Amino acid sequence: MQVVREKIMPGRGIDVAQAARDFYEPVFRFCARHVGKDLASDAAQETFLTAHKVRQNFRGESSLRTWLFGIALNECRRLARQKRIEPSTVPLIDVSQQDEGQSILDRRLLQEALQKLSAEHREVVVLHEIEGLTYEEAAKVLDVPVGTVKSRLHHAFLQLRRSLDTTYEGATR
Amino acid sequence: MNVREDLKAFIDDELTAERRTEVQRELDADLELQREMEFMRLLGSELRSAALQPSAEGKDRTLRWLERRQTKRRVINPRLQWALAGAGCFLLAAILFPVFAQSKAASKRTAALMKEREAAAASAPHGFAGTAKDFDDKTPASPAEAPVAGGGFRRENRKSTMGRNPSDPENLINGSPSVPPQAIPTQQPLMIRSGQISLEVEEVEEAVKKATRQIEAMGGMVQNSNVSGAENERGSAEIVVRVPESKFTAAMEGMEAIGKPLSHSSTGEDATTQVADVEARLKVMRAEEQQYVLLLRAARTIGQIMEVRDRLSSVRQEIESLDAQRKSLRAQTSYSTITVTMQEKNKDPKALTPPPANWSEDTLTSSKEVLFAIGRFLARAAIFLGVLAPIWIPLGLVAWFLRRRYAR
Repeated sequence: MQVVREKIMPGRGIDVAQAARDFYEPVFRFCARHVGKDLASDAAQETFLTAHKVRQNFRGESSLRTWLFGIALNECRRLARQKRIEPSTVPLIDVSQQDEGQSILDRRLLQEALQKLSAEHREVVVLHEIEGLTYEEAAKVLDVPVGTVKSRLHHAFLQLRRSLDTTYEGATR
Repeated sequence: MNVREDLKAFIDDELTAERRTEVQRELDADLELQREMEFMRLLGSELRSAALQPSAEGKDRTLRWLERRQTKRRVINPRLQWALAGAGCFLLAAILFPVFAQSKAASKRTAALMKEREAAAASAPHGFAGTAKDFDDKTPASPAEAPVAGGGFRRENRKSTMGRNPSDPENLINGSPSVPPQAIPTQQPLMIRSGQISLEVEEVEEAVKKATRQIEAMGGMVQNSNVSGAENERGSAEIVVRVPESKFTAAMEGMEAIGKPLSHSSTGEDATTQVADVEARLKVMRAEEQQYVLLLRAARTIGQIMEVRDRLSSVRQEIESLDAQRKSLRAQTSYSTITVTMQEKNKDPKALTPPPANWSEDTLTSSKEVLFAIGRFLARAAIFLGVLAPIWIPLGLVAWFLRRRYAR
């Protein structure tokens, strides 16, 4: 497990260079899931540049990773608007490595089902299921109440089930 | 509450202990619910295992940039930055203070010069006290070039006559008369004012009579009057009135009270300098005329007489011209012109109101005025910005520097 070093320097906020050493990879992957791999490095870099500018705003009320994900989400939204990227078209699932022995669901169909989710539902699925954030952390990143995260996640899974129903029936039969 | 809605939170262990017990109880009793939960668990697991895990790129570039920023910040510590900013402000003040002092002195000199010119202009009807520039620029064929015995002319320095008696023929022969400077009170500005008023009235004839009475009561006169309109037609009139300049505002208000004002405008031109200039030149020319008369009497040869007469003739022509200009300017500044356009109210409400005859011209004039006003405003703003650049550019730079500093 990655060691988190959240060093807060008096009068200067956090050490963003250290934060980049610790969290660049998860931030990059998070950005890649929103704007695609090609633009992910730009988005990640912008995230840390913004973090450097506003580092004095970090009070340690949330984890550093959550704080960085919050900034990254805003940067990704801005970049997506600027480059006219539709987040639903960005692949989340690695369809090239389908393991017939272990995977029950067809990854291609799973990717299609994820593409049918709304942006809000997709965001909670990414934050909770893929990035592994708790409901509370996801709520902080999205700046919404915890109840909203719970509700969005429930509806996202309902929709995924509806989309995959045929596949699931086939798989469990 | 619907248990299905909490199923996902149950799987993720995000429920309170009490709610978790309730959901567990429902799950134990409902096979379909168990299948649903199983699917959700499977789906979550599949999402985590099948998610794309792209390898990170650009980390070194970001780290280099961040380290460069931090190194850069460490080079100049905050206290040193404040000290540098203070030193900058001090240096700026040291540079600007002499500039301001020079500017203030220049401003005082200009004000003094202006005051002197105004005093000279005001004194013109009583005695010439123009500046050297006025004298040099505007005095033609100075009698300083006086004829001397032997037929030639001798050029005299004007300053050499200062303090001499102007009526002394000797002085007149040797140079132009100078009038000793005297303290003269500041004169009121002489304005050439004109106004235009457009009115809607009940009866044109009656309104014209009323306007005429008002103007005459103020000591003015109707210069031009034009009333038109046949029977059953809307009458209209245009009168041009002249009123004493001091009554201009009262006359404008009086005219507006005659009917319903549709539009009004007034313009003014300061003719103080023009009048003063003309009167000063006139004074000088008259003094020259006197000198030439005396010189004519003193002339001994035909050549001298002819030469002096030619000069006297040209001086007198100049005097006539200047006098006419003076009278015209005085008349314009003594009396202001007001043009009143009257239009009868539309008696038949069904009849369409015809547009004013000169509406297009008015619109064009108004739009031009607006355009010129905007142009003047922009030019003034540009001049202000240009002149005040030594102040706002350094301040802007300091603000920009501070903003950048706090934004980081």
